[in-house]
Amino acid sequence: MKIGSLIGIEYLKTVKRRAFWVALAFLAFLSTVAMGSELMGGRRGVSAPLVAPYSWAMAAGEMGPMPAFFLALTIVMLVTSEFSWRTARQNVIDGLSKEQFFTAKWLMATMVALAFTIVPFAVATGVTIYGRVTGATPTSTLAPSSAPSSAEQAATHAAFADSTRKALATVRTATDSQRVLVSRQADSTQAALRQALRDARAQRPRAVYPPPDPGAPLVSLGDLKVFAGFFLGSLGFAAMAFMLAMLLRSTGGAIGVFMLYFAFLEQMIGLLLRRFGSADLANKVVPYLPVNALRGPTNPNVWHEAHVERLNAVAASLGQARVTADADMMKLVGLPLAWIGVFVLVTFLVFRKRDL
Amino acid sequence: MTILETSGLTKRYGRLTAVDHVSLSVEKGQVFGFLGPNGSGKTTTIGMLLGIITPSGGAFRMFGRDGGDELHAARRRIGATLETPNFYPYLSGRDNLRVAARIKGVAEDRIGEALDIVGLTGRQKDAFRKYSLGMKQRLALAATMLGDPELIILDEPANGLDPEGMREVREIILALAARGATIFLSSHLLNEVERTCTHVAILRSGKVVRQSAVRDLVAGATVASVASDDLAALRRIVAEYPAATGTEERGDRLFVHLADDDLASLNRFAHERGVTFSHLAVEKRTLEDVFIEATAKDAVGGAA
Ligand SMILES: Nc1ncnc2c1ncn2[C@@H]1O[C@H](COP(=O)(O)OP(=O)(O)OP(=O)(O)O)[C@@H](O)[C@H]1O
Ligand SMILES: [Mg+2]
Repeated sequence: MKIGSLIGIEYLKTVKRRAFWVALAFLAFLSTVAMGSELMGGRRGVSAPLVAPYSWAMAAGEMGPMPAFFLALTIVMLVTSEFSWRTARQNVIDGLSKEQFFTAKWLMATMVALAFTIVPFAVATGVTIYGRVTGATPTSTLAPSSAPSSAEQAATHAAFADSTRKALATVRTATDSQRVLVSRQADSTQAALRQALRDARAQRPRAVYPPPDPGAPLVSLGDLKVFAGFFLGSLGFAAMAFMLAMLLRSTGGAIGVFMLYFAFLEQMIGLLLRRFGSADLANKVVPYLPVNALRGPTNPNVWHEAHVERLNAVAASLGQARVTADADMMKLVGLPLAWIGVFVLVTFLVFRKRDL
Repeated sequence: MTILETSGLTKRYGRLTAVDHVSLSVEKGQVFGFLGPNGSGKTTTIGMLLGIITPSGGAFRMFGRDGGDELHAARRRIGATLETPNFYPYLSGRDNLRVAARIKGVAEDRIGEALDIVGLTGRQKDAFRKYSLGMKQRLALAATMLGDPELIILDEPANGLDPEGMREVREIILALAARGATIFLSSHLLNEVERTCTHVAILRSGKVVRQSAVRDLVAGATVASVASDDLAALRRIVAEYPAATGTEERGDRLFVHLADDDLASLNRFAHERGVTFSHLAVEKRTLEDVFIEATAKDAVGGAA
């Protein structure tokens, strides 16, 4: 049977599955919130605004582990249901070989990983176009790191002391009638504090962004590299979810193990190595573990020089450390590919041996 | 022509031997009933034939081919269900058949015809999950007949159907057989099997204990019910009768198991020896009698 027919069969199964579209829509919604808030008003912890030609790199940086999680959830669901409904059995009875069923399912996982990469990048493009058309300018003022700088903290203290002093002075020098008015304001320490914070924010050092270039292409070569890297990482998480789903054949089990490993176990391995081995050993091994290895290529900084330059310009204007990116191709591309190979091969060997 | 042939087919689950050296032979055009009590290994046997359970031992041939890719290609010429109807609950009946048709490489314009035969045309757009059990079974039948397969394998096709549904399923199966398909079906509905099947194999604890044409199974097991004024003389001459394989006494009747169904000869034999029957009737044994006898706990090994 041709690859095209296998894809056709999986397409028919997937496009009519409401849960697939719900997961995709939810991802689109969260992407819009994450990137839209950049444009709409800025929020704490946001690294820098979305302005083409940097929007895709920004999108990849913004999304964090969320798409990987949604992707894993969707793939687990699409795979395990074939076992709980016994349709995997029926597909083989109807004439697919186990190898063909496996191939079809892995192709499906690849397509879903692609869809889950396209969606956040499409949202980023949309938000950027919106920004260009409406002339909305970035308003977030925080630097790449989310913690306020020491200069910022000093400014806040000074502003607070200053506004309190002013308020007290007003009270002291006011006439009676004024005093009633002022005391309403001054007696409320909350109000004073709020005012102080507002003042402090106004005095906070503003990040200096290189001016946006309205003539820049919406998508550059660097952007495409960011996209490809993000897809590679996603494919890796897809392979991990695919393996768990094919081997455990239970939705709860596969999602549980994925979450546990993704959020917890890999860090645990690092801690245990540090504890019972050495820090040196931990530093050597941990970057090669799947979650770290697969998140490597999803970091936009390793692909997009212009983006890194821009981040560094912002960092410099705030007196912060430069962003560095380790662009070791073996680690960024070879390692994820190796993990994908391992996951898919192990799954294939076990799947072929087991009864359906 | 032998469509399906197994020799020594065996499946072990740990210490349990679910299927124990099963050797079957199904010829073209037969409607073959595969009988056995719950847990006797029917589904496991069919699962091995369909390539979803790996045999622990033995071999089988389909359409004269065995092993690997060839066998896999042979499976395209088969329509089959295993245990329950297995479909995508969120897809409509028609879309489920489209998935099956694409896998089988059958043109999608054959779907309408299959839906028509099983009487689901009116509900084809409804999601499978909204179907009643009977409708699900009928959709499974529709899927098996896509692409006019030469062999149709059905695992308990009438499971959970009402009498009307059973009759419909029986008619569909007979219609498929009339079109030239060979049918292999497992069941424990003996009445149904007796009415639809030409041949049967009876399985007990994974072993085949009987295998023959339905006609022979039932006919070869004629029981004559006789009575006479002189019961003692009756017992004596029946014991001497060469074709008698056993007797039972109930009231004033003697039930004589015969190796043939020649009552006249029995009558002549008694008459020549001066015993006159006051009653002579044939009690045709049903498949159920044969089945119960063959699968009874003490029928060790079975005399197939
Ligand atoms: N995956 C399995 N693991 C262990 N034992 C199994 C497995 N599948 C079946 N068995 C056992 O094999 C035996 C045969 O089961 P099978 O399902 O083939 O019986 P069956 O004749 O189809 O019964 P039924 O009429 O109830 O459908 C049973 O004892 C069953 O418990
Ligand atoms: Mg069964």
